[in-house]
Amino acid sequence: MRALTTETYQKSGTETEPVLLEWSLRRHEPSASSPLSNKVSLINWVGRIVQSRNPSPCIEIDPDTQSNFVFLAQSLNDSFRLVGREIWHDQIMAIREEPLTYWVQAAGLCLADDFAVCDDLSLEPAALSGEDLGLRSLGVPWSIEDGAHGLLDAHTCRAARMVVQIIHDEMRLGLPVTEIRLDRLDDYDSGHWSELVFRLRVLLDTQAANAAWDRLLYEIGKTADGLSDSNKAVGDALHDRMTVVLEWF
Amino acid sequence: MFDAKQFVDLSRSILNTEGLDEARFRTISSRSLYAVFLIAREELQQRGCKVKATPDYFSQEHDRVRREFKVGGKFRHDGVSSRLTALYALRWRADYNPEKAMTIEDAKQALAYADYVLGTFAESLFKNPPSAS
Repeated sequence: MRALTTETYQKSGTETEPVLLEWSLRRHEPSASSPLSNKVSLINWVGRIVQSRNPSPCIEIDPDTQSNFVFLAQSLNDSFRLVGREIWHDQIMAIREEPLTYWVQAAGLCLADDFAVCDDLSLEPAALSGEDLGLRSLGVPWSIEDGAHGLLDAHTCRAARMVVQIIHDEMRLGLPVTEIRLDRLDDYDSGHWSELVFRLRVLLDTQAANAAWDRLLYEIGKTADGLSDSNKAVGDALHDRMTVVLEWF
Repeated sequence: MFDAKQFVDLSRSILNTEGLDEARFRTISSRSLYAVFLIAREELQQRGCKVKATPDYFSQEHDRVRREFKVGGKFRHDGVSSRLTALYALRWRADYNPEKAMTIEDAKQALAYADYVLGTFAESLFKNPPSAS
């Protein structure tokens, strides 16, 4: 399936200079075969791909433009998952802020095949974030508070997925979770912090719940501490920007 | 000095009384947080952590206390840190969000969180007197 249509395509550069690919994305026309048909529509947008031999292909996004979009990555089985307001993906190797540049592992950058760009107003952010974070795969009722979505930047999103994976592992080991809610908690006293809070409703008594909670925190801490320096931002997000909370009454 | 643990004792004593249900549940949730916060603030300050307010950063007390239990803090304890977060969330609902009802389960939960934190203070984090820690 082709979610995007390359409308214009230009190529410039030499063997030693970056190859500049200009393209524009045309409004996606819903079709019966498209999983996006009922959820999103693509809007006109012009971006720029810079492909250089070294270090890696990259995408340059105008920061002013980028803030108006969310990005969807298309997986091999044609399902789409929300990547966020920034481009980030398993394929992305590095991000530079000035100018905003994303290095992508995939050679060739046929991104019209791999990425969709859509108007965030036409999305259901909470539902898509839940899909992206893996909450649906946990097999229990889940919900995401509207405000939580705003905290899901690239690093926090990755960290949140790690937390979900740890929760998933603990559930497989017997943690009796009946519901998960992802909330946002702000420091209303002084405005110094905001956190994502994973609220897990569990069928345990107080002693068992506290023990299970501490085990979860241990696993999360171990994961965060084990991240390499290159993933420091993700580790910081794990430590500082999210908390797991158990509820059992 | 007032012993803030009395907030927890009072909360437990009114948990199952009758009448003014939601006011009780909100009071218990709110006071549970403040019991923990006030005790933590005092214990931390006595152990060299400058968490108490000054005229320059009065509004940062909660943040300063909270950070001492997080990564990088002198008394890092993920269990305490997460229960504190849970208590902050309940306290916010209790004091600022009348639209969302609070129940006896919320009150019991707040007390359970406070029990864990105060138990950890007494049994490990602040077990030794300040001069010996």
